[in-house]
Amino acid sequence: MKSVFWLLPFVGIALACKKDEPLQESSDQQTSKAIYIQFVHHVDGSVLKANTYYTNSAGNLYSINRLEYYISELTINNDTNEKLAELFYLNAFDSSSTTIFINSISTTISSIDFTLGLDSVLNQSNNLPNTIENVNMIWPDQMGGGYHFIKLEGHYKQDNSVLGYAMHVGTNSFHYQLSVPVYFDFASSDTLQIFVNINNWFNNPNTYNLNDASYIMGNEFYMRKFIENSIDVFSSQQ
Amino acid sequence: MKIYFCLTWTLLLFSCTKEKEETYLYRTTPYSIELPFYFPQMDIPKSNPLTVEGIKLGNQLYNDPLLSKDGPMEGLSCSSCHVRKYGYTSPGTTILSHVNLAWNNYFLWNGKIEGTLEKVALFEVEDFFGTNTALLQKDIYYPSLFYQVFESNIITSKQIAYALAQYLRSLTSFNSKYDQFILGKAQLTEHEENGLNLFFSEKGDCFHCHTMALLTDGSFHNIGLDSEFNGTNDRFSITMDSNDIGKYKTPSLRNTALHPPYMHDGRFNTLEDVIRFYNSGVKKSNTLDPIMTKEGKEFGLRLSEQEILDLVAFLHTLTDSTFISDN
Repeated sequence: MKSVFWLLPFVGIALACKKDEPLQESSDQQTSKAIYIQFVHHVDGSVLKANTYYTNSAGNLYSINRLEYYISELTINNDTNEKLAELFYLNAFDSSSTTIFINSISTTISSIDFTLGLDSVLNQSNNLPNTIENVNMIWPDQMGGGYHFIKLEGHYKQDNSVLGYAMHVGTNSFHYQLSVPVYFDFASSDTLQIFVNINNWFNNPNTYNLNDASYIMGNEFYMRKFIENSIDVFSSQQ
Repeated sequence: MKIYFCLTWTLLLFSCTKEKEETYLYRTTPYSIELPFYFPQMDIPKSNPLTVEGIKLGNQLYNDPLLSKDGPMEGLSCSSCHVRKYGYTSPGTTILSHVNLAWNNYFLWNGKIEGTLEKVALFEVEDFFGTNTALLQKDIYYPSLFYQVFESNIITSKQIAYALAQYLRSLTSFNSKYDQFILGKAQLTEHEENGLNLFFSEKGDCFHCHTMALLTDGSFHNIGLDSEFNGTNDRFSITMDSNDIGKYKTPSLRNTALHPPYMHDGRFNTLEDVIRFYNSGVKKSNTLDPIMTKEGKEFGLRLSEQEILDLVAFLHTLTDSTFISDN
């Protein structure tokens, strides 16, 4: 009995020592690291500011008061093609939401793929975690259910008047898949910047004039016209 | 060798003894709120978890004029202006209701007070009521109640604020006829359901600001009450940002039928007056909310008479009788 008690502390120490062997971890640390993906919102190179007027390709003089959107199914394209399959809510006026932390990336990145909005699997009523942000993005069941994919709002000038616009896109037909080539120095950088040029939502392939339709929620023609312009909104170069 | 053996067992015994002392000191009972599936998560600070005892103490303080004795609001308690049967506000005033405050970050119509409920309650205790903590210290009951919750023999303003914050956080309303309808436990009348569909569709478009569940987005909007805003105590008066001219906080519509008048200045006496304003009375200004300027509806919703009444009927379904009658 006494000999058993004498052994206990030594057994404990032996077990503890065994756990500390780092041999396998060190080889992983040499090729993988954590990075940030930072979404930087601008308008043709000018930093985004609320209540500042910008000009789009249709000649509208417009300001931006709200830009909220989802990106989902994020895939990091590198040697291992790491698909994150996560959902991110971004608010262009809340910097705490515009940087995504990626825990571990191995090797350099050639491009990132993501969906602007939610696919039909995600886009179901009450499907997302009940955060305040997600609840405020709800698309009513009476209009198809699910969530807003994007809310872009502000004011624009028409003759001597100031009018409002609200680009709200949702429902299952209008999420948009993107592939963004990136130039990222894996060895020296830990932040990948993705530049979001808001003006391009009015440009290509559709010149979008706010005088044609300043409010598009539920209007399939204009929601499609607007969301198709997402093609070159996101870039790794400003 | 024997010393090493003794040391090991002494350490084991010591750790066991310490755990026993912590169990003995635990005096409060955790309190949890079971929210409906469609409600947002409630953030509860780790420094002030909800407990049965803390909420009970907060309830007592909320109703106690001792909070204001010797202060600028002598004779008043929180419940003097936030009356339970009116949805925790006062009839005939524009005082915002203490409903679902757990999800608020901004308080008052212009968001002048912002932060956690603990911070807001501390403002109420120290500034609004000017609470004399010595009076509570001398009270026959409060020292033991406070000790039970905070394990302290000295009553502080912070403790009073924390108890009040717990109580405010517990004031949740999610048992109206509308909620029961969502859960499949109640039927709406034809008019109420028409009103619901107007509320949550482009025709009424109420849902953009009065979002599902909380019936408020917690944000600030210029809804076109006026075309000029001078000295109106709006959001601009706080932020000095010209983009905030004419903006006021979206109030929750829960229990709204209980407490006219409506808007920050009480200009509308009935819910029907409110809907009629949205229908044809919106005034233009440079900061008018974009949602209010949809094509064809630049100055209002243009609802029919029946649609107006249906919307009002739906708003009445937001009254939660358990919220106003059961603590």
